[in-house]
Amino acid sequence: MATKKFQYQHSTYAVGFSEKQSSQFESHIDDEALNGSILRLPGNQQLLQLDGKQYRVTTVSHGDRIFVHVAGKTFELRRAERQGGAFSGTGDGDDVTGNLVETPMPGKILKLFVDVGQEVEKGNRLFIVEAMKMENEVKAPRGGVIKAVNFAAGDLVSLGEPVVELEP
Amino acid sequence: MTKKIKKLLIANRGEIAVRVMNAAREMDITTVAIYSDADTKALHVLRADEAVHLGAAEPAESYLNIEKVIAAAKETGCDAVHPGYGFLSENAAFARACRAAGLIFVGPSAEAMEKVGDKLIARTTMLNAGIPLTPGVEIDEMPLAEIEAAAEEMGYPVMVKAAAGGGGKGMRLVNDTASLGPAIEAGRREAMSAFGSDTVYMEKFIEKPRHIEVQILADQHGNTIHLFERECSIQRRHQKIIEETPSVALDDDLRRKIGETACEVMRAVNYYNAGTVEFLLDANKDFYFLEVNARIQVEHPITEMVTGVDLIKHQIRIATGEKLTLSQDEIRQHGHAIECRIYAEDAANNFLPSIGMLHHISEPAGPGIRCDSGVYSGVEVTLHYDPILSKLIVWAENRDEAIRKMDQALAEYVVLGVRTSLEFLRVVLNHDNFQSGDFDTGFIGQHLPDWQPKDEPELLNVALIAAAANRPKMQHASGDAGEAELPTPWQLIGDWKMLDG
Repeated sequence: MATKKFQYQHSTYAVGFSEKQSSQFESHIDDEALNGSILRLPGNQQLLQLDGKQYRVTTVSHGDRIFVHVAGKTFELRRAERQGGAFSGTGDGDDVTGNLVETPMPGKILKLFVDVGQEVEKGNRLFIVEAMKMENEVKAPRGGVIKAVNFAAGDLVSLGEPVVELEP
Repeated sequence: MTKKIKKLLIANRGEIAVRVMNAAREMDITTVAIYSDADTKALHVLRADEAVHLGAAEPAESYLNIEKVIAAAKETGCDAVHPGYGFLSENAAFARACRAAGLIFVGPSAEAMEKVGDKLIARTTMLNAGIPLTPGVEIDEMPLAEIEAAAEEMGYPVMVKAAAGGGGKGMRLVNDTASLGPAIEAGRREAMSAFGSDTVYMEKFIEKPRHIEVQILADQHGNTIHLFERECSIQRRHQKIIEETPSVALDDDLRRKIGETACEVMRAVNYYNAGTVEFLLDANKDFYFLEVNARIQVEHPITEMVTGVDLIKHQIRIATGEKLTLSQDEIRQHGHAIECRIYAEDAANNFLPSIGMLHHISEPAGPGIRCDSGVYSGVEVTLHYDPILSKLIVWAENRDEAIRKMDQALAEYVVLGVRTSLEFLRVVLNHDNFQSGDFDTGFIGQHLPDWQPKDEPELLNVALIAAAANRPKMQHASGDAGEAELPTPWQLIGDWKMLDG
């Protein structure tokens, strides 16, 4: 059975899936076997039957991201087997090194409160990023010394870009 | 004297532009859209009879550019301009410029707008008219030490607000002396960037207030009526996300009193057109004037649902000089309506804006369900504008049924590509305090701080299988994955080959 790996939040799941006759499928998620039936419908929809329950699912994929809506809940999954089998962290998890302080939203750096070499304590203001006229103040996640400041006030930043680097 | 409108320019974008166009079309009025570089494929452009490109995505180059908007209206032969909400809707200079250019401005007079637009002037006017107000101080010329003393005297918490403000921008809640200075600084900066004026003032913060507002219609002949209240206490970052009417906090007596007060507020400034008077209601059921919104509001549909009145059409008729065709006695509240604002934002991450391609949207429908949307599958949500995608509105015979209907409609609503508030809104609707009506504007901070979506292992399994079963789409050369495209028979044949003579 072909197995694909998907990342959801901080976990990776190995999902096997193979279609049998008359819409039946066999699948496993990690070690759990799950069998049911699938009907592909227009408009990115699938009708899945699993454990005697029926689910109307909407799925679209874009690049390595797959968006799935089912029963009022939306899942944002990532294909994890890209980049030679290893999943590279995206910056929204715990795997971000403790040294990088990223912008939580894309926008404009409005104000920087720190300089290279400056010592900061946890909770000190580092910078303000603005988008759609809303200001968001970013504070130091831990104490340390400012190793680098990668942007200047007025610069535009994309989501997840490291604005300030801490050491040690 | 009335003047018929034949062609209307809608100086806005998104769902409100579409909403206004629908009303205009029903009135046999030709519609003209304006758009920026970021909006060439936007829904409001597609839905208009004509569309004029104004310029770059930055609002100052397009939707906020008075000269360009007026020129577009003149070029296309419009006789009127509807400003929607936000952008130029409460800009008195724009209202004047429209009139100077011989265009009907679908809104109040520039004079009334100025009287209510500056919160400080509005407070003075309302004080003189005997309208109940919260204690407040002007702090513009005051040194910080004096402001601190004034705050001490008033008692913390206090609110710092932009004089020209609205929508929570330039607004800061301050709990102690230490945070007062930084809050004023940030408030001024945000106010300058949002409204072009950094004047802020300070007000006593009413604890556990409910946000109650009253919809007004007033004509140019001195007739002012109210269309009852809307409760908008469910807010995040001081921005409303769920609104409902009627409010469970009002009884008939208080409802009549607050409605009449709202009419007095509008008469005090000779207000005409549609408008809203906002109040705070405290735990003792005393209410205080907050501000006037001199425009149609985002949440106007719930009033339309319970009163059966099309507010946009009345706005347009009033603007032409027609007399109100409705009297106060004819306005009744029937049933219950709720609106949820669907934003492109990450509710699990401090409600930060979420931008990107809307790969797939499917909107709920059914009896009593209304979706005022400004987007469709395949358009992009950019950073340039307010991240509202649509408003979902339901009507039912009573509040409990309206809540259940909204919960189901939200579950049916599919938005794939950007993060939305859909799931969070359902959590609010299903919260005991919301259902029992026991809440105030602090609801989200108090009951759902740092909300994270609940784990649903069963649904995650379904999602993982669906993802594994998903067949990658044929993609356009541009890499833009819109709707799935099946190959045409011609493509299946393969490459054409020229046959030599």
